[in-house]
Amino acid sequence: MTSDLETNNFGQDVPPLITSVMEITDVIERPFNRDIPYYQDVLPDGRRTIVTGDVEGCKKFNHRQGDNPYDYKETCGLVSCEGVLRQFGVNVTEADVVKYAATRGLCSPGGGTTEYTQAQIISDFGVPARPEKLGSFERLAQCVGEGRGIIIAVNAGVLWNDGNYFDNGQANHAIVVTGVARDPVTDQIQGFFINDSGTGPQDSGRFIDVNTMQNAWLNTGGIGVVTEIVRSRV
Amino acid sequence: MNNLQKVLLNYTEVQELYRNSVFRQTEIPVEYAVSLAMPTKKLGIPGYAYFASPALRVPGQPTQQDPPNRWWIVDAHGGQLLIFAQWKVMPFATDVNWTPVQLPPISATIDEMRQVLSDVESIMNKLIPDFFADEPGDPNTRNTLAQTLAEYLPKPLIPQYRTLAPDFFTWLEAEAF
Repeated sequence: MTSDLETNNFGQDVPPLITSVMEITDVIERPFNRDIPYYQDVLPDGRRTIVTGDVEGCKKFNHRQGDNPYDYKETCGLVSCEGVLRQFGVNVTEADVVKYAATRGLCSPGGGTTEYTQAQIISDFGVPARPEKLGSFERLAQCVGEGRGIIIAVNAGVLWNDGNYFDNGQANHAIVVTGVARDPVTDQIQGFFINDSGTGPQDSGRFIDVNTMQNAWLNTGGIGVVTEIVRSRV
Repeated sequence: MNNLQKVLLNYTEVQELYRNSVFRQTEIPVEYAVSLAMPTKKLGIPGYAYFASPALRVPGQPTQQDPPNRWWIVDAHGGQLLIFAQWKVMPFATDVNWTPVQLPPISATIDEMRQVLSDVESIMNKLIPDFFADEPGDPNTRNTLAQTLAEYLPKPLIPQYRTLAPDFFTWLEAEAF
């Protein structure tokens, strides 16, 4: 992040718009949903970027999984459901979601969920959702720009860069996508921002570059759960 | 008369099929650890068998993996599901007493693990047609795959793999045909 920041219309401190060197031209389209934050920023590696998504606002919806009185620990999917529901103003806790899922056979003993049960749980709490083979970064970015709640299935070993959690390379962890970063000049997707209950608050709003996303998500199926409705008045 | 010969899916195609299958999204919790696809003819026709187990992954701690919780076999000719069952209803073995295990630490990098998987895939693609055709296959290649699997698969899980597809391991490790 640069040191000379100014406050944008969303109350976020962002680098000043440098119109003489880097103009946001018509190439960069505003997000589909004008209620979704859209601002300039700097990536951890120093690259300038345009971020779409309520990355900062969604950080508070993430926490370390396993925070429930039922000793359910494999709850990345359930905590992701909780995070999406809270984005839409449904004030639930992990314990609420675990209890609901466990008493209705929507999770395994321990808390494991499929994409279909994740969608069912989110829908049952009042936010219609569906599993979807998103299959591309552009489709995922589109959902972010539309203001949808999004859970994706990734390989934890790739995400955490640790072979101990790679298994056989398949998707084995659920996370929430909260933002997309695009190059301000070329509009190319540089990566996405996520909330990860596996690592907890320290990783809220973490930036994942496209290479990691390719290996962790696209190469493991590119599957997600997206809400049918979009956020407004963020 | 139907003279059409069915085409067998190779190992690469079966893996891809699983990644994209609706079955995976409806029946296999994301958090579960899923086995490698194991060729088998235990149902009387060529197929690929899998098992899936609850697994707890916490950064900085060893992975804890429970015994298989569900298993299935797909037809090697087209990937259609032949059988799927939860262990509590129909286990794929009855004379076993598996317990939750802590997987051994892995020092390999992600790229190294991906390379090993790629090697397994490549060798499986060479050998599987012979296995399904009741041919012996090249003994050196069989030996290479046997060694690769022995090194790659977590040791606590090897009995589960061997029980899932005993015919494949018997064929793989045969010294003479």
